[in-house]
Amino acid sequence: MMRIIHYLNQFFGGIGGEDQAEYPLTVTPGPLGPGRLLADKISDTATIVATIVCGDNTAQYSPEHIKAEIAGLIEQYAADALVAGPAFSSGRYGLACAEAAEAAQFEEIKAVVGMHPDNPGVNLCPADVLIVESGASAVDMMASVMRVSAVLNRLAKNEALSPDELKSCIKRDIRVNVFSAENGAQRAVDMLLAKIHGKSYVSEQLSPHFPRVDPAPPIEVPLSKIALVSTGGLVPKGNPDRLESSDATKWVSYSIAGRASLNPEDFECIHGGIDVTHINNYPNRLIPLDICSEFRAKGLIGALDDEYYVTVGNLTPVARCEQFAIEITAKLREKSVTGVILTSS
Amino acid sequence: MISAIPPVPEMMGVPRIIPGSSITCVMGNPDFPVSQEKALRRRIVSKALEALETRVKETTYFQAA
Amino acid sequence: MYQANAPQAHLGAAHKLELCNYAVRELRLGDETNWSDGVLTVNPDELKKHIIAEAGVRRVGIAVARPGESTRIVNILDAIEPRAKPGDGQIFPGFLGAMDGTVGRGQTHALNGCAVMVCGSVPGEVASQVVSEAMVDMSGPGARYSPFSKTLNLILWCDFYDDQGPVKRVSVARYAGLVAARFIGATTFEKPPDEIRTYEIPERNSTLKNKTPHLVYICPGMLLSDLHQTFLSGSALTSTPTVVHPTQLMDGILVSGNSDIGATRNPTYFYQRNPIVEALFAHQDKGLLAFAGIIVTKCLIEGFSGKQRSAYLAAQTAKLLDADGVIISIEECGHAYADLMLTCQACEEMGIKTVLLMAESAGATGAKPGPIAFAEAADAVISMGNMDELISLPPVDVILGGQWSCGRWMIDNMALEAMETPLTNIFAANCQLGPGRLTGETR
Repeated sequence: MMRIIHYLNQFFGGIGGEDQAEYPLTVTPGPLGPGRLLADKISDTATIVATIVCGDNTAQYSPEHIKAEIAGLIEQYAADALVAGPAFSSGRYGLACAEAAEAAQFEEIKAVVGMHPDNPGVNLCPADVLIVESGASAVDMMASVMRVSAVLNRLAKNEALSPDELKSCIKRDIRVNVFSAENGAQRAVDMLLAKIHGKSYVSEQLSPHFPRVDPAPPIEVPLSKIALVSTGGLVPKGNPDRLESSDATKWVSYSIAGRASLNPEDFECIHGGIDVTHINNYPNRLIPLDICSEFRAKGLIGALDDEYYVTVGNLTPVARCEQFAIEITAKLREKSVTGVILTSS
Repeated sequence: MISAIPPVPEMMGVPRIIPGSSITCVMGNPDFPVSQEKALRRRIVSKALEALETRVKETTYFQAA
Repeated sequence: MYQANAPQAHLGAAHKLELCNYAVRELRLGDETNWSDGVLTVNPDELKKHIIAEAGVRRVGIAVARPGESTRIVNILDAIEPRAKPGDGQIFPGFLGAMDGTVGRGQTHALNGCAVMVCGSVPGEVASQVVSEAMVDMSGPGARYSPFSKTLNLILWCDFYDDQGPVKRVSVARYAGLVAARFIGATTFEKPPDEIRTYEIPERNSTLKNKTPHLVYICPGMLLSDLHQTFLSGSALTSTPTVVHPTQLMDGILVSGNSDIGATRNPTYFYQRNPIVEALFAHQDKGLLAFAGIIVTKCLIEGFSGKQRSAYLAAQTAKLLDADGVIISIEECGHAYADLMLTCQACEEMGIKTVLLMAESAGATGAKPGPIAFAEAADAVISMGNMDELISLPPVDVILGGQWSCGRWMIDNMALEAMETPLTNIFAANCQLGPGRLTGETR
């Protein structure tokens, strides 16, 4: 019988909602929550020997630590495979599932995760992980669990997936290094001559296609509330929330209430990818509070959000940035912000 | 979005792009006297506000003077 | 006083270079520096004295690393092919010689199959930048990734004065390498070469010019800071493109001063023996194209307006050279790719067809989506492979160049121990001048 360790977040683990997002990583023998449903569907071939429950924020804020803990538990329970989710469209949960899958890869066992194709966690999963497509919400739980169980049954029996089962897995483009017969320069000249002569050729890299969003409709700025957002890593002196200089795991917001300008005594730039000297000398160069305050006083801007929002774009995976954007936008909506000035290096 | 490397957000499909000054000083210029630098920043932010008030269908550049 | 018989008068008006190749099949240290019948011998004491006198290093250790040996070379700053020009010929203009009419013309002696590798410890930061690791394994699984596991390497392990800061150290090391390269190259004078390869580009009304596509090579150097830059005839690059003759590259008009990410550096060796230049001449010899020149530009330009200026000036220059197509290489990564893409776009807008060479940063998993910038117009791109691929290197018997790995992807193990490293630390593993056969595929 294949021994499975199951990863759930605080919500599906029955602990609580958003308020329990900092729940520490815990492990319980046997299946929990949706795991019970899953266990039932794979009972002939596999058992869920343990369930890990972890808060989404806990997983986000210290990924290396969480991965190490999960790896340890995989060993402790002698698991043959790890299942994470289904995370549906829950972005932070999806990112956490990708981390759990990384731990599984480190321990050299198979990993199966379930999430919606648009979940930011999809692109963070290691290459060999099977990502079983789920619907957007827990409404799809039964169907998602059925799809995951079908894949698990195959794995347990060491069988290949059927065409339908393969279709239920999200296919990603994974780049792999290989050695070609000729060097890059020769291939370049050949490709250029082919292109000039109108002959066919195959580009070795293609423009990535990021999903397009419809542009938001215009607003009347003198009647609107504007927020300042930046990927440039400007934080209060001392970096109280320990925002990372690269590969950021969070976004933070800081009060600018009562300020007409960002001064160098109170703020610093911790972006690890650029020379921060000029920004440190005059932080308004990155986040233009001085000008925005001026405009607000003149009535050119209706109102300014009393906080600014910041993360660091340096080497931070696109998937995580997507998730940050979703969360920041939710906060902005709560505060009736309708326009954003987003600045980066 | 104000960016010193506009091809990057362009590739991502950002609809409203205002080219900034330079990578280490996206809304400023350390070689300028303070008043001139502020004037530069004012122009960039004004363009950004103009962009917010403009209907766009696809990636559009709003070039500050 | 103006001299009527300027040195280069004897070369005549034609722009032609005869590259005299002396094959190096064995490299050893010995009593006398000479080349004979494929064997290059170097007297280390003599070379050391010469380097210390000319370059200002405190000490220099000299060693040999051969393909197949259990040797790892670390803290590599640059690799240079030993070359020299007889008589009044000037090599490495701006550093060791003058920029005059002999650069790219007349005769150049080259020791083919070997490289001078300059190594040294350069701690410290300049404008938030550091010297990064670049290493070569001469055997084992790591050897296939660096072109320099296949060359016979003469290692110059430089030791600097304590008060020499990072910029001074890389400058001193650079001189050490160039001085050694010329010194060793000069041992071939008086000896007949194994082969003489003549390089010239077609005359105005030649058949090649009339009947075949005109191809131009756009070659960006870089200027990131005083610590990492490319030199054109000894000077820093500007964002005004410059047209040079391919043979001038062969005489060292471009020298690497870049010790940023090891995998994507363009070392001096590959400006001298530039794979794209070689491929263009090889195709020209077959009557398939007319090589119309090289445009040197600058990448990693700080501001967008500067990037645009460089891109459009380069494209216009290519147009004035009658280019039907251009090959565009690049150095390093990050926003250098924005320079590359803008240049590509500008050329295509003017009806010049483009092919680009680009390494990839697809993450250790290969799942990370694309580079920082990718223009719609870039429809013909060569991949030089994913620099984030992790490889495992075994322990080695001999370590040269340093004791510890340095730079951004610093490894905690001692340099001669087994280690896991991304390709970023392997010297020229993804070099975008195209010397390697590593490429990327989608699965």
